[in-house]
Amino acid sequence: MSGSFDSNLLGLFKEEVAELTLSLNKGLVSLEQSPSPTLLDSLMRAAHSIKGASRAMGLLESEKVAHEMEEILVKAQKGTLTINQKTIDILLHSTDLISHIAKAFGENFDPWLASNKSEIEDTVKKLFICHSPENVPAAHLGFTNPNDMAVIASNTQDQASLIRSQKELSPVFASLFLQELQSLSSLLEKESSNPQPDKARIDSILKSIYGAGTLVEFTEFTQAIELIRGHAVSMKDSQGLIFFTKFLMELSNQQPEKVQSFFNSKKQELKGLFQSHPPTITNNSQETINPQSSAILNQRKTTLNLDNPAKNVSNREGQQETKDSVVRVTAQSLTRLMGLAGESLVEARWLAPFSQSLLKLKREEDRLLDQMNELAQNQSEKNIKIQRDLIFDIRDKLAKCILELNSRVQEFENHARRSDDLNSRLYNEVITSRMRPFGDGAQSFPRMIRDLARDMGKKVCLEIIGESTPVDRDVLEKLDAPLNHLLRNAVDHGIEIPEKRQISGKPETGTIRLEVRHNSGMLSIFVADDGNGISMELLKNKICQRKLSTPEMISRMSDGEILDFLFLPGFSTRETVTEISGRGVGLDVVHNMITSVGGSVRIINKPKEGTTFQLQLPLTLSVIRAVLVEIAGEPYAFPHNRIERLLKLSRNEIHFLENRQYFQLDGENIGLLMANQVFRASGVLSEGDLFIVLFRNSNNNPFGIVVDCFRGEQDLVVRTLDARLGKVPNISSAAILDDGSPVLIVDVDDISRSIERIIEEDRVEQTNQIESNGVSAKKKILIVDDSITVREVEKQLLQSRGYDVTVAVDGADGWNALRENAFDLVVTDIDMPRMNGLEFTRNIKQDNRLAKMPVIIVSHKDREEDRFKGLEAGANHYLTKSSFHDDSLILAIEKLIGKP
Amino acid sequence: MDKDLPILDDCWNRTGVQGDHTCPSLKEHVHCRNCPTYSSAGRTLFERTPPKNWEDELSKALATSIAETQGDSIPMVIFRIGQEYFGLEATSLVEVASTRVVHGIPNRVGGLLEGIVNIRGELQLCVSLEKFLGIEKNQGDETQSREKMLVLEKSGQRWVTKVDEVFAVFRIVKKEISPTPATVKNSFSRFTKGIFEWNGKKAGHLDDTHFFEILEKSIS
Repeated sequence: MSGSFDSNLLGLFKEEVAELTLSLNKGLVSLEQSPSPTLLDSLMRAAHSIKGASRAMGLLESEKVAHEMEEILVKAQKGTLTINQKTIDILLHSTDLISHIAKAFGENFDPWLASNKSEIEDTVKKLFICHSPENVPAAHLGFTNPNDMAVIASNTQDQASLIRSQKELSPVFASLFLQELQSLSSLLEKESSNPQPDKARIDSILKSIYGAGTLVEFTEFTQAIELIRGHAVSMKDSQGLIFFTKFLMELSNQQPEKVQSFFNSKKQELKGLFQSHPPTITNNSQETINPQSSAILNQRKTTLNLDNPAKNVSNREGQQETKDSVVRVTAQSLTRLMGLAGESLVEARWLAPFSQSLLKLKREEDRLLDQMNELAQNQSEKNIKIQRDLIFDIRDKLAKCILELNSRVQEFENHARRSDDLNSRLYNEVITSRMRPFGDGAQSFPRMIRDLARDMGKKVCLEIIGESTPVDRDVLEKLDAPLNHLLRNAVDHGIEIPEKRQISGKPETGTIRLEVRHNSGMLSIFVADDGNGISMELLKNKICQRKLSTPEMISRMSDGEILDFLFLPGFSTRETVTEISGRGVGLDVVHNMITSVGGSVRIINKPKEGTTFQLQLPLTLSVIRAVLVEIAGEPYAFPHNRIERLLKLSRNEIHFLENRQYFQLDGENIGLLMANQVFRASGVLSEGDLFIVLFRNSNNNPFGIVVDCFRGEQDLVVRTLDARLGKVPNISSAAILDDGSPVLIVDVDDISRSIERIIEEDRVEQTNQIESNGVSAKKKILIVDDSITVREVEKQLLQSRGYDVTVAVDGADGWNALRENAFDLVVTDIDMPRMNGLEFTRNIKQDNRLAKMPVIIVSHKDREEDRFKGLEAGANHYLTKSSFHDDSLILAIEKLIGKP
Repeated sequence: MDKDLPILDDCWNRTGVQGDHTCPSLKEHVHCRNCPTYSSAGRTLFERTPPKNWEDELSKALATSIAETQGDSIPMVIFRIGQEYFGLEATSLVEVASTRVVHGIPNRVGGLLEGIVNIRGELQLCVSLEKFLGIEKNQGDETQSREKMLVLEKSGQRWVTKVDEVFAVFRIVKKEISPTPATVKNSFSRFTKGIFEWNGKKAGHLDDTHFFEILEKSIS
């Protein structure tokens, strides 16, 4: 059913189901390993909640599935049902199904539903049989897949322990069964006595008998039937079949209580019968029950995925991108926030009456002043007594005022202290609410490991230690893929198959330990398995094979260095590619992800004993410690961990080499640049000492940047810059300082690249030059021409005259340059790609900001009409290229903007 | 009803805090609300005698449908940049904030984009409306800084801009907005939908749909 829903409601429903299925998955896997009544209870309630929510949304399908799951769990609670591996399988499968249904629910639900209807019905049936096999009407005998029956049979096998203990079939059903058996066996007799028995018909009759036996949970019987079916086809003579038919008829004539004993008595004979006729494999039977059923279930799972329009990759990732996405905060956190916010308000409200009281004080003092004035005026009077009284009065009043003022000051100080405390707490609480317990992100792991292990026929147990360790929201999200991969690797490459483990003396079940903790200010994560470890030999061979290194080099490398090769893209020691691994796209991605947030990965390998991956990550991406500096009068921040040193140098410590500045430190020559230069901000440098920030880029090359001054260190909450700004060069993000003013955080890697570029372009402004000018830098000219020769010639010409020259390769490039920087004059060609000179000029003249900029057109074209066009477009001057040989260009420039 | 109002001397609008701050009582009372002149003026409004037939007048006023009284009018925030007055539809206005520090973006000096500014703890983009509209101002025109930041929002995008003075939000009757005469061609003519009179001054009605679109394009 897909009505039109309030998208809010739909979103909430999906969230709720996602959460519940996650806990179902987790709980079911735990249940398998260590059942407990509380666990059962919570699982039951989860299924119940899903049922209720589905009903509220009118989603019948998931309601049905959830209902059946609930029934199973309720019966398990009561003890009338035993949960075994098959039950867990089907419950897990149903959980997946509910998850798919919920994800698909919404706009295009109907087509999805149509294609998955049978799957859903099948699952519901299976679940029903699981908990109430006796209630299945006869019509349900016709299953789509006999292996389903095998599933049920094996399920009921364990359930039948209850029946077996009674040593007789429950009377009502037994008599029904026997009646049915009678009619079926007479059919069988008719058929088998036929000279040419119809094998298919026989088979279907046997199938029905089998079904009947299943329903009454007469397992030994059903097993026998199953074997017979196999035989029925191979029996060349119908002897065996006839014998068997007779047996069945006899059986059906027994009293219900006697059935079991009769069967037992005939068991030997039957055995003999089977042995003499080896079974043949028919299409549908004789497949071993255990792994196949789960394989079928898995197959079903994958077909379901194909039909499912909603992708399995969690929507969470997508959601977190949008502004209106939902985030989780613990209720406790919110309560604390509420409390702090309320208190903060109380403190704030205290201020108004306070200001009133100060006003009162002020009036007192005004009155006092008046009295003083009165006194001053009465100086001439001879009445000393009046004067003296007045003086005393004034003194007293003044003393009182001072006392009052003192108390006001004290009160205010207290307020300031309380206020500061409250607001800091408020702030910290909000920042902390960005953290989530690690367990939140590890929900899907136990299930994944379980399924993987089953697929590979291995036994693995996942231990998660430190589920409550707080991890930053963003970091947690980024961890999902790498951890997923490492865990899969551990199961695939690490843990050996049970037999092999036994031989090595290890417990059959392998353990993967996922441990998360805070360690010296960083988040440490360990993924450790007790498997085979990484074979160094295999690894070395692979390295040689890939020609990544030579055997001599390898022999000299440490184990750690050799293991590092695993992080190279495309590297894999698996020979064949499976769905799980061997594609070689895993570990390098892991490595990249971790290092991109400023973390590190390490491998600790013990051959035969196991492998451990150790990840170190920063605790939070949202708060950084920064060094504040001033550049061009505005505050900027450098991330603390990227700065090597802060220096103060006097001018005579700066040396020049090929027009570039550098200084020496500890024997290293470090290139120096003005921050103004790099940021292309304007600004004048003072005389005196230089303040330098020294940092290294990713290749460990040192750079020095001259800033105006240092401002101190601070913890800053990182904020992303507005998307409309695009990528701002040299800046990574922004923050807000204590006084409320914005600050830009420098991207150290970006800035190193910019510096390198500037050095190449030879645009270093020398510190001397700025000083000597006293005013800001020389006049800037923009040269736009698509011919490199022309550009160079013009540039040399103008630079030699002392102008500051920038070049652009065509109109569009020039336009960009104009928008980025301020120029005093533009010299442009006409014929250029992208935007020609005329258009360029026109744009300049029409732009509000640039309209006043003088434009000189220098072109090959020297006809009158071209000149006209140029001037019409708005150029101030039109010159031809021949004018380089005389001074006309220089003169024109000087006329327009003066000397450099 | 209006004619029966007591005649009040609204010194608070002239020499008080809403005016030019020259009132001598301000020294004593710091703010008009603490001054007895102000409070007694307020009292007068409370304690005047009701006019005759006030019930009839009131019922008549209430019975008149809102459309008639307000007519077809647009609420607009009136502000001034330099010597020019403008009205912008109040639906685009989020808040008026006190003027504050703007941090420039390197490599984007001298353009429309002035930088980023902190409004209520969030960093917003600050643009120069002055440059956008091409208004020329002489330095030192402002004797008293009544500069404010206008926080505007349209289609989910926020913009902050500095203006010289903000007056309140007024309802301007649509009929009173006349199209910009062809003879008047300012640098901002292409942004104004019309001209109306406010408080004796000619104000341009800024076209907010066009305006924001172009703003967005200019910045990127």
